[in-house]
Order: sequence, then C-alpha cells, then structure tokens
Amino acid sequence: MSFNPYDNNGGTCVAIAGSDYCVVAADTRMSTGYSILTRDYSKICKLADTAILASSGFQADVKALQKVLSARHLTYQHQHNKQMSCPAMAQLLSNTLYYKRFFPYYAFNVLGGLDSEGKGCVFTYDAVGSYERVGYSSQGSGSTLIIPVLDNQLKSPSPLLLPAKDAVTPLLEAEAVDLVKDVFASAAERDIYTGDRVEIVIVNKSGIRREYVELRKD
Amino acid sequence: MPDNLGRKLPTLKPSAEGSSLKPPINAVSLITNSDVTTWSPAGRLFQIEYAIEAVKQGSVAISLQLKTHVVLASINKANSKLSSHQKKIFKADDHIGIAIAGLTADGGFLSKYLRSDCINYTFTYESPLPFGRLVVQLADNAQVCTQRSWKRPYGVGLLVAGLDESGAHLYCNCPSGNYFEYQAFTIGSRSQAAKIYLERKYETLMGRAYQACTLCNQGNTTRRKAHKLYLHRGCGCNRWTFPCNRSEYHNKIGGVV
Repeated sequence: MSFNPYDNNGGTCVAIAGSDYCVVAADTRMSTGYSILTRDYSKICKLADTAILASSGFQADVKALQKVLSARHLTYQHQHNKQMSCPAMAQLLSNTLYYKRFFPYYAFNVLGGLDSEGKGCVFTYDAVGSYERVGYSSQGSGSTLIIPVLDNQLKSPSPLLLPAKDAVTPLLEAEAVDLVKDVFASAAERDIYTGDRVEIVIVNKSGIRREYVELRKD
Repeated sequence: MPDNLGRKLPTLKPSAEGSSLKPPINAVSLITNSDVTTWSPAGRLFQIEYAIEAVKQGSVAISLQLKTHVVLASINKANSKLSSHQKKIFKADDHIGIAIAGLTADGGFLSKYLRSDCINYTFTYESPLPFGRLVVQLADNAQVCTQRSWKRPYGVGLLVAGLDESGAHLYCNCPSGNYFEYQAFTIGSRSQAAKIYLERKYETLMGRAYQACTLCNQGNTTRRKAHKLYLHRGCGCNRWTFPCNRSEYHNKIGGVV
C-alpha cells in the first residue's frame, strides 16, 4: 500500500483555431475513480488577454500550473508593460512543464488564443512540455473519441500538396462553436468521465466570450 | 565644469530648504561620516542623513490621501531634450502604487522587490497583500541596510499609496527605515512650498478625487517645460488607472471615479 502522488480527475479539452478567432472548450465534470467529485468545475484558465489554457488530468497539478503561469505573466507585464502574446505564453508553458521533467505536472494541456497577427492559434502539449502549433487539438479522457471527428471535419489535405494550406480552419466562428458542441455531445455518450456541462470560451479581436451547454449527466 | 568631451555636466545644487549638513572638515568627521556603521561623537549616523539628503535632491513627488482614493503625482525630469523622461511612479500590484524621489535606480530596484513580494503573497494566500505589511517589510529592509558594513542605505524616499478594506492609505518610507502614515506628503526638491500649500488646502477637498488631482498639480510649483507631470489615481474599486500628462488627464476626469 504505497502513496501515489497522482490522481486522474478525468475530463476532456478541445481547442479549434480559426482565421480570426479561437475556440477553447472543456467539460466541467471532475471525477476520481468511478465517482463524480463535482459537476461544476472549470478546467479553463485565462492567462492573458489572448491566451486561454484548458487542462485535463490531475486538477491539483493543473491549479498549481495555472498559478505559476499567472504569476510569471504578472512579472512579464511589470517588466515589459504589455501582455504576453499567445506564442510567448506557449513557450513559457513548455519551459514550465519541462522544469518538472522528473516529477511532472500531471496535466494535459491545450493552449488557445490569437497570435501577434490576430489569427487563431492552438498549441497542444504532452505532460512534460513537448508542444506544437496546430489548427485544432483535444486532450483528456475523451480525446480519443473526439480527435478522429475533428480530423474528419477540419484536417487540411496533406502538407505535400501545393499551395500550402494554413493550419487554421476556414470555418466561421459560429460553425466552429457548433462543431465543438456536437463533438462534446458525442464524447459524453461513450466516455464516462466526460459530461455534465461544456464550458466554451471564444477569443476574438473584440474580446473573450463564454458559453455553457448542458451535457448528459450519467 | 565640462567633462573630457567638452559636455557640460549638471552640478549638484544644495536643496532649497538649505542643508544642515556640512561636508567633513576634520579627521574625526572624515572617520565618522564615511561609514554607516560608525557613530559620530554627537550620536548621529551621517550616512543615513546623507541618504535623506539625496532624497531631497531628487525631483518632487507628491501624494494625497482621501477616504477612497489616493493620488500620486511626480515631476518627471528628462536628461536633455532628446532623452525620455525618468519614470518615478510604479505599480506594485493592482492595489498598491509607489512614487519615488532620489536615486531612481534604487527606486526601480525597490519597486521590483515590492512587485515580487506582492506576487509571492498572492500566490500563497490567493488574496492581495495587506498594504500595511508591505510598508513595514520595506522599512525593515531599509533598516538592515543601515546596520551592515558591506551595505549602504537606499538613496530613495518612497511614497507608498494603497488600498485595503479600511480604505485608502499613504505612507512615506525613508532611507533611514522610518515610515509614517500621512494624509498628504511631498518629497524631493522644493517640496516645502508644496507641503505648505497642501496643509492649507487639503481639508477642503476630502472625498473628491479629481479635484485632489488638480490640487496636486498646483502643489507642484516647480513646473519646468522639459518635464512631464504624471498623475495616477487609485480608485475605490481597487483598479489602477493609467498615467497621463495633464491635458490627457483632464479629458479623462469626466465619468471615471
């Protein structure tokens, strides 16, 4: 009977990048084992005006990670007199995760926002900080159910084809939000750790907007 | 006196109030005045008094405290017509701001220390640092620098303005490690005139922040063309408003409390 420092609180996160917007979504169920701890827990954290972090995994580590990043962002603002851009925050998150390479944050992150040109960007991470800019991503317990659907709807043709296509989707903002709602509804059908409610955060040049959609409670 | 490239360097002028400190003229003075850890025969630590003198040499900073607001104002000098203006007002946290006078490098260093202190406290306790505690920590830090042979006192006076549950507060921190709470205070060169003006006019303006800012303006009797006047207001809603010069400020007054 030994002490396990980690626990998995379940949940799923999704992010989709558009030409001038970014949608970041996560369900609000927090569970442990086969029990539900709460139906109303937010996995999404606003780090900067254009950088939204959604993380699934061990929520205690997620909370600590969010606090560390917020504190570092405050310092950045004091030193540079401006907010961090999303790509800058992406690098900071990667470095913060690798800093604990030998006792990792059990957090599976998806960072979404607008890059310096105002285009949507999504960065997807593993637990130790390996990251990549992509057009869409999903992490967490329902990700294996969601990613194939997103691939089918959003994946750009092979990068070998010319002219080279942008990683961002040509979908409109409303269409992307609808896709996210559908995708979560599907995941909630089969994944026991995903359900209750989806929190959807949309970032565009006019600011940040939040929406909630009910999901299956079982 | 010009330097080796023929440029005219600014000469140190004694403060307008008249310095009560004389440069050392005998061997005993030379020994006792040069070390912060050495007392003078009269029971004074001259290095601390010289540090306070450095504050008096800096350009002026004024602050005014009301029930729900604190106002900080400063005259920001520019080295020449081509250079930028010296930054003298710093935000330490959403509810704390400081204005400095004296050695601005020390001021920048202290403001970095204050900022990291606020961030660390908020990280641990998930609430804003109680403002009074920050002032005491700052004062203790300053005192340490007056009692170590390898350190020197900070050459900067700080006007620390902040908000907590009991309202708005203003403290002045000296290089000596002393701190006092004030209703209104000024530090820096030619601040005496501003002090007298504030003493006379202060009571008539309790509770009216924008008029208090104008008061700060007028208390700044040493406006020079090369200088910009920066005004910061701490609002009762714990938000920090941005710096501006006087004309921008008057445009912003309407509708913002």
